Amino acid sequence: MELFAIALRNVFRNPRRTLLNLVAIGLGVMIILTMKGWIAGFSLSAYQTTIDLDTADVQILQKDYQAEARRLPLDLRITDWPGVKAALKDVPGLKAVGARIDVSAELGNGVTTVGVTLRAVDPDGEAQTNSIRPVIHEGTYFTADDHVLVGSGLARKLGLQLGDHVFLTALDQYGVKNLVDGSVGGIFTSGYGLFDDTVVYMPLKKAQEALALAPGDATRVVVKFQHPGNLDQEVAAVRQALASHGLATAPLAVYPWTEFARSLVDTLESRVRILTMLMGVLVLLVAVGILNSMSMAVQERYQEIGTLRAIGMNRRQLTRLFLLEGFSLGLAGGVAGLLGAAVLAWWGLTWGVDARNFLPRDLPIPLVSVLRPAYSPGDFPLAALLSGAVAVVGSLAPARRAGKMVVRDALGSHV
Amino acid sequence: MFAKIALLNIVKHAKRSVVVFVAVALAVLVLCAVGGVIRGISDTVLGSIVPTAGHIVVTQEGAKDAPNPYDLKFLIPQADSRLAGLHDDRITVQESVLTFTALLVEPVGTDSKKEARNLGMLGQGVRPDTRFLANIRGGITQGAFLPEGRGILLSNQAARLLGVKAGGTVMVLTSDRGNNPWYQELPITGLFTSGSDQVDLSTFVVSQDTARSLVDAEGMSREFRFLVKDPDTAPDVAAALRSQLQGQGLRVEPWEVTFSSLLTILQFLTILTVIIRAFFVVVAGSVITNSILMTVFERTREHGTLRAIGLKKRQLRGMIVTEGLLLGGLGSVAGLALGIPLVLVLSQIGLDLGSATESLGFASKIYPALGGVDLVFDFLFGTLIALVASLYASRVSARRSVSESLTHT
Amino acid sequence: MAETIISVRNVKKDYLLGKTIIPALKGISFDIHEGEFLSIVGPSGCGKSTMLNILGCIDKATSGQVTFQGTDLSTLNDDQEADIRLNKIGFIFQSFNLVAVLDVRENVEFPLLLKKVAPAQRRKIVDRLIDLVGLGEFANHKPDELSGGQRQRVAIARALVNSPRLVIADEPTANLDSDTSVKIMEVMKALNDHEKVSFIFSTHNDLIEKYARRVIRFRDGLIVADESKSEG
Repeated sequence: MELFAIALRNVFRNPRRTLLNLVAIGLGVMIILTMKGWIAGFSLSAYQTTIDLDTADVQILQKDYQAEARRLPLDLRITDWPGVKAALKDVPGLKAVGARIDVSAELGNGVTTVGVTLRAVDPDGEAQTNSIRPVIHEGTYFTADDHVLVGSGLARKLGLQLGDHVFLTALDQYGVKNLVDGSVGGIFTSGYGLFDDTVVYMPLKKAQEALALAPGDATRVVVKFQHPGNLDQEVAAVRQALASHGLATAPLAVYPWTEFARSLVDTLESRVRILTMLMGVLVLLVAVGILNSMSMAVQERYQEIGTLRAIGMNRRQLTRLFLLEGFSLGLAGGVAGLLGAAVLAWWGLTWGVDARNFLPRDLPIPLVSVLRPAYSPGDFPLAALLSGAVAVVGSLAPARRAGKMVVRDALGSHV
Repeated sequence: MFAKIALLNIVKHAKRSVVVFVAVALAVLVLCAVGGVIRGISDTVLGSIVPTAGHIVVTQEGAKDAPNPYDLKFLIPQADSRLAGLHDDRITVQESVLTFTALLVEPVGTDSKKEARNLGMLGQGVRPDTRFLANIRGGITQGAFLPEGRGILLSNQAARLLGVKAGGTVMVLTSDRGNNPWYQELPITGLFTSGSDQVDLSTFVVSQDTARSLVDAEGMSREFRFLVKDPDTAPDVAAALRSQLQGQGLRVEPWEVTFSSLLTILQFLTILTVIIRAFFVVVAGSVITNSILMTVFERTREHGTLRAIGLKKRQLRGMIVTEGLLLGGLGSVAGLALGIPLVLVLSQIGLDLGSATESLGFASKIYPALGGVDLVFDFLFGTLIALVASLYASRVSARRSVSESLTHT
Repeated sequence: MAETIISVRNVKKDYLLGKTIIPALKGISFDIHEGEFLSIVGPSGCGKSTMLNILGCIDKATSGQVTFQGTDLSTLNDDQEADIRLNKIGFIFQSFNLVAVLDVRENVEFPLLLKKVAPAQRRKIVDRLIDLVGLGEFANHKPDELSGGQRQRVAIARALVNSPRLVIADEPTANLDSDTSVKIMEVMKALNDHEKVSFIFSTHNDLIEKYARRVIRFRDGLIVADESKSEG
């Protein structure tokens, strides 16, 4: 402990040098912490929105569906979704199960038609697996059989209001174009532009009738857990439940939500990779600076080192002293950096950034709300400790050199 | 002699010099690499995305803001003659394109109970010798771009989803201008892979004549596309076209307007990289300043001697700055020596930015690129960091009195 | 009487050590004449080096007046002081203080570069001086390839290269053995005789002191004796 106190004082011997080091380390820690927080916040927000609005936690599809998903095939469907739902009822931590049919359609208001994705849902299941209900700001959630829910972007495009009559045309399972009419029962704004501009919800039963499908048909069964945790375990639990109910040989496949957000996950992960590389260069830069400073410190204090050894300090203690100095420098810089990052984090958490104001509406990244950084409690202390560790690495060579010095040489020409 | 002393000192105090050298090199490497990525993105936008759609696009008024921009009521009548009547020396290519929505369906088999696979796509009706759609023209894997007669060019992915092959046929279902359903069975004359899933899964190509016959739009097109010699002149050329098309109910849009959202993202990325680069420069600057200061302090007695024998303060500062400049210059060269090959390698293999960027018009892979002016700036920047650091160190050193310097241990 | 080149009148010098004022010189007055070979002697801490620093425009007096060929040194700015050091004064240091990365010729030549003397002229002057101090065959050697005595001879040559009026040597033999010290003093004496340059050096070595024709004794920041020796 005494050594640490001495080390700390030694660090501030040369204020200018120490200040420059603190700037380098502090800035480095601040940048890394801040970027980590924003990327985590962005990812969390985007992933959570994807799960809440679109994918749920786990999905069950016909085994060949995903490879052909682009064409939203009706021929590759689950034929007994209630049976699948029943098989899952004992899965630990399960919250709800819903069923969907996704198909390409055209929505018309009698004057104009636009291409949309029609999402036919089991209303009860969807309400519990998905957060579309809370974002309906006009109308209600499926209070009548012929109700459709449209996104606000779509409603604006077609000039739709509550109660308006609409027509949906889609190809049924035989490839025949069918028309189904309904009325606008609710208008939602999720905040995710692509969703609000292209998705229409209708009750599953109505869609099944229009698409010449049976009551047990669905293209997706979506599963939501109470407290999602380990995705692999959840997928395994669902598979296990299907198997134990004799559905192991059924042509079904179970997927985690990441399968359906691959482009989003890819994109965010590639950004993280690029930024990690940049941060690596930053760490290297700082380590080189520390190495240089500590070398200089050792060189300046030859005589002092000789004196310390002459009065009884052993090599190990001397090496430890210099390592502690390096650690103190790194820690001090890390603390400075995390203070700066804390200020930026406070700003971000308080005000956030509404990226929707300057990013295009059709960005395929779900940004439904103001972006805020996200931190775990350990991020900040860990960053400070890590910067201390990097500084120790940078100090290793000079500290070893100090420890190896011969006393007589260190005391040298000034005697 | 100052330069010689500076160079000799650099060699003599190699360890210190290496630190400055490495710090400058790392900073310049980052500047070069990050700059290369941004340039690659910018080149992709200007070099491939924009020319695919045209530097200038002319459409019917009201089409852009309509609920369905592909509504056939927004076609331009007498397209060919109108296009032929437009002139400007700055234009290198002018073509009309008929874009339309269609459902592609696998040919009907004998099993009527089986759903025919189908895919909603966007058809591009173009001239067989079109200068647009470079990513498709360059990605042909089977067959040819477009025949003179009837034929359709599909992506390999779309063909797989529809269960069709080159040499086979596919049904193209459309609605004509009277909203009547119409279809044609077209021979698949070629398959392509453009490199973008977005394009592959949403686009097919037919000749303009075929497109016109599919939607019953003889002599009509959706848009006129223009390429200009210098993309920066697009707004001026657009203004000139606007005056030529005055009163004809047509909208003329330069690419900065068409791709405004892309440009916004590009600006956002540019600002982000400027911030990243600035931080790197500051961190590197701290490390470099520290190193140069230490190098200078080590030689305080020597500097005192030189001043004692007549060297003036500003000459001493000049010596220190010369050394800093040399180190900065050498470090910058080293940084570029590392950064340039890195960017060149990435320009061949590409940098994967993830597929979400595809739908913005970026490919998922960006090919970083080198720009001569950027490299000069990177070099100057690295040198500048060392220069500023050594200027500071020289001022600190010169402030000491001669006697102080001489007695410095 | 030879011309007075430096005149020192009631010079005092105080140093601040923390919050304590240390008076290094407490009122010194003397003159230096052209061609003198003068030694300032005294125990450690008596103010010898301080006096030499002030005479050499390396430091400024706290009070009093120092005049160099009629110019009051206290009125000079930094560049003017540097000019005097370059053109009128030569310095020889106890630790030689050669530039480690330059060879003998380049070390000696350095002040001429500062004066922007043409290369041919520089070479002529430098070669003469290197020969004068007996280092002709070592012209391309670096300082770390020379003995202590040889390094000091380089320093002497450098000090003379701009034909100064005065050479100041602060303990020039302190880091040399006796034999070498004697040789260096011989060189300095010879140069004083031939080049007519005034030499003022500090020492606490009796053997070295004997070479001086005039000895000024310092003690505790004051002159306690000023002795001229007759030529013998």
